[in-house]
Amino acid sequence: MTTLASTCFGRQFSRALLTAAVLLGSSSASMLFGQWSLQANPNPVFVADGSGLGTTTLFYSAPVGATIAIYADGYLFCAPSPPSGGCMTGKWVSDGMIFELRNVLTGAVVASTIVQVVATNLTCSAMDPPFYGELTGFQVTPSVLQFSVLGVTNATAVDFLVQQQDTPLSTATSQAATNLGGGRWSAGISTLSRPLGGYRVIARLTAANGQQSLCDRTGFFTVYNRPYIDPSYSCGSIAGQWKDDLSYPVPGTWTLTQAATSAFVPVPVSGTYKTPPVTTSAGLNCPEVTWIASGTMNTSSGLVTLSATNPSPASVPNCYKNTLQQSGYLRGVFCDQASGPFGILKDGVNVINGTFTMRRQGLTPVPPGESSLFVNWSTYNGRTTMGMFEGLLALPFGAPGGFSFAGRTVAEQDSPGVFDGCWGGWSAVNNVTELSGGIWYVSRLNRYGTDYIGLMPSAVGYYQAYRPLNGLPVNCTITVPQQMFISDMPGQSQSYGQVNTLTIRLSPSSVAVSRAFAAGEKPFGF
Amino acid sequence: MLHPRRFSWFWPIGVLCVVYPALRAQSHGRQVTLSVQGPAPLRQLVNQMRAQFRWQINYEEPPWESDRDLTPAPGGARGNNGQPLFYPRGRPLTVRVDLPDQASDVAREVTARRQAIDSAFAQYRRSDNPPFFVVRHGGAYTTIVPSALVRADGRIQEYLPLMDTRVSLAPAKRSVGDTVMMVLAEVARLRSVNIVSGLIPVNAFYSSVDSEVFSEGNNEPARDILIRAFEDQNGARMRMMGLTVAYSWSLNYDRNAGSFFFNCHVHVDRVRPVVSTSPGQLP
Repeated sequence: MTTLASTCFGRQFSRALLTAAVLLGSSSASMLFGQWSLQANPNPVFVADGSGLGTTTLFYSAPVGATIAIYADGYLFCAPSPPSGGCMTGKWVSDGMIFELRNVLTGAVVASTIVQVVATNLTCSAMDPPFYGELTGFQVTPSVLQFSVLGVTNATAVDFLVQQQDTPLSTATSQAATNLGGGRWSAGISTLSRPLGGYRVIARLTAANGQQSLCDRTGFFTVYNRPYIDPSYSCGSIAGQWKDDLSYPVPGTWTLTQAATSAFVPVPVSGTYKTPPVTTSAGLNCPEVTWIASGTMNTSSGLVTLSATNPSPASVPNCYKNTLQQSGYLRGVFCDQASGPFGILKDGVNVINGTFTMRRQGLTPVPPGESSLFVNWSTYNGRTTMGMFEGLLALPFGAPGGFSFAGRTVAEQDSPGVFDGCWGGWSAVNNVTELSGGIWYVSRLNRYGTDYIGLMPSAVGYYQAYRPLNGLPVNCTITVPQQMFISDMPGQSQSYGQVNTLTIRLSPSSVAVSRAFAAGEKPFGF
Repeated sequence: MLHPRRFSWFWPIGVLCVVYPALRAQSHGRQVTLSVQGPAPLRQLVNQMRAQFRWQINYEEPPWESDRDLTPAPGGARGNNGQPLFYPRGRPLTVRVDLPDQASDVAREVTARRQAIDSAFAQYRRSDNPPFFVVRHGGAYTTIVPSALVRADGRIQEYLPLMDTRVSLAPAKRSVGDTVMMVLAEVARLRSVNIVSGLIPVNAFYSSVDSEVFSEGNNEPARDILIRAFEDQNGARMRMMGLTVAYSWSLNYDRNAGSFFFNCHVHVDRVRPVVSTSPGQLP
């Protein structure tokens, strides 16, 4: 047991103080310790199974930067991060248990609370079903879910609390249950107007004297909805070498550079246009000619406009004209082809019109690497335990030396070293053995996504419920290496950058995900 | 962190459960030995073959009912429904798998792979584990489904595998993920069972550029609709990036949760050049 004899907020002192606080109607000592606080909810905890043990959640706040820990009767049970959050206990809280928030650096108890566990003669034994099949939102599954609590005794009323993930129990909605006899109370829970995500169903028993108790055996369901449609993207860079299909007198090669700017408006393009020496069908020997190329690339629409002027040598009669203009859209998942109308001018007069196609020559540039960005938690289809990440290709478009990879596709591929520390042989959720097969367009900002990382809410709920029942701590980690590829030619792709490590971490009250150095964490668990 | 004094009974069980599902693989040239211990050995064997050899094996369980097919959890643990936890019974299993040669002849490779799976399954059948399964081969997929259901009272009863359920789906362009979820929801409705998402390849299902496919079903087995959607996406990905996307699934039944868990795996590979395939050779 930890001793706190050296501090004035010692165990005996705080018990007396906190007992006084409870008697005064508060279960928290936060007002005694300024910005540090610790509160238990529910408190008191009513238990109906005769065990005398209950569960509760400790909500804390502490200054940013502090290193803190929460102790239960002197035993470390949670080491959370400031400034605020909650730690859920298991079913081991006994009446009068003292919870202390400690400043780890000084060892001082900075806030405490006593939890009351009150045994009632209200009992219940089971929830049926413990898991419900998910709803797709297409109305092919029932819009009302039937839940029943079994083995109820001494209750004059029962209602079901439907608690949405990430929200406290106090905000749960209530649905009155009907007594079907034999200790079975049942209620239909409407799902139609509920937001997407995971829900817990808790039976609340009420005795004739008004005393209430929450049943430990709970149910779980998930609401899924809405199809997701990804936007498509335009190609963003004409930089490189391109060969067209013109024959006036011979196809030429464009060697182009593109100004580094992140603006979506037309970006300046410059370089050369060159035709090789050729003998025409009329027997005329034409020399190699080099033009000055200029134009614009609209990184928003993919429209490229090019002009070749000022040929060198300046003029060879009957070999070529003095100005070439063409414009077209850069297209395809490889951004390797542009096509559209062209015109050839002589002394400012349009003499030939037609359509052209030009194709990229050689391998297209590959990003030297990428970084990751945690965007948010998913709200689509109820996948609320999945983190949404984006990849940011280096170098950023607009930075010196930057290049636009917009419009090309990137894909994730497996690398050796997958580790699933959550799975067990008892699990109906399979172990993670590979990535989830993503392939994305690169956007105008050299970003791609959404790369979803995480487990479905039902899988998280399953592990949170069944790992402890199998004698394992809920805390577990899954890591998956991810190698990225980028398309370069039709049917080909190249790997780039270092292998990303994707991580999923579960705890009794939270889910955390990371991709390389980007990470997100949220409360999840009931 | 829980204090070991108060929760000491957790630890022996915890250690057991880490070791319990242990699964080993030993390679002997072209022959690989797989060892499985713990619940649902066929489920674990399929997972191992899928992960190690990238074979597209679908695996579907019956709703385990009989004590002959179930075993109580170590330590007599109970679930949230107040009932003792039960897992599919499993006796230790060691299987030798002959790996087919790669990149010689597609038809021969497929035939050899099927023989390897049949041989592994025959070894499973001799292992005194739940016996009522059957292997079906079709195209790139192998599917292992229940051949009968042992009822709680021990009677053996004919059983239609869940994904054999005939369903209809209005023709539409939709994501692979929505296609799967709609089909599963329809199966769940028609068969009055719960089907819950287990492991889902969300990127391939929903967020990839090739996630949208044209899907429909006309009173046909649910399995066929899924495979058609998967193969449409596979074709699109080959054209786009020269990559293949190979799906397979496990429909695991958890008696404690009263639900089937749909787990879908996806392997992405580069297209392997076909060496000597001629028309008519494909199985």
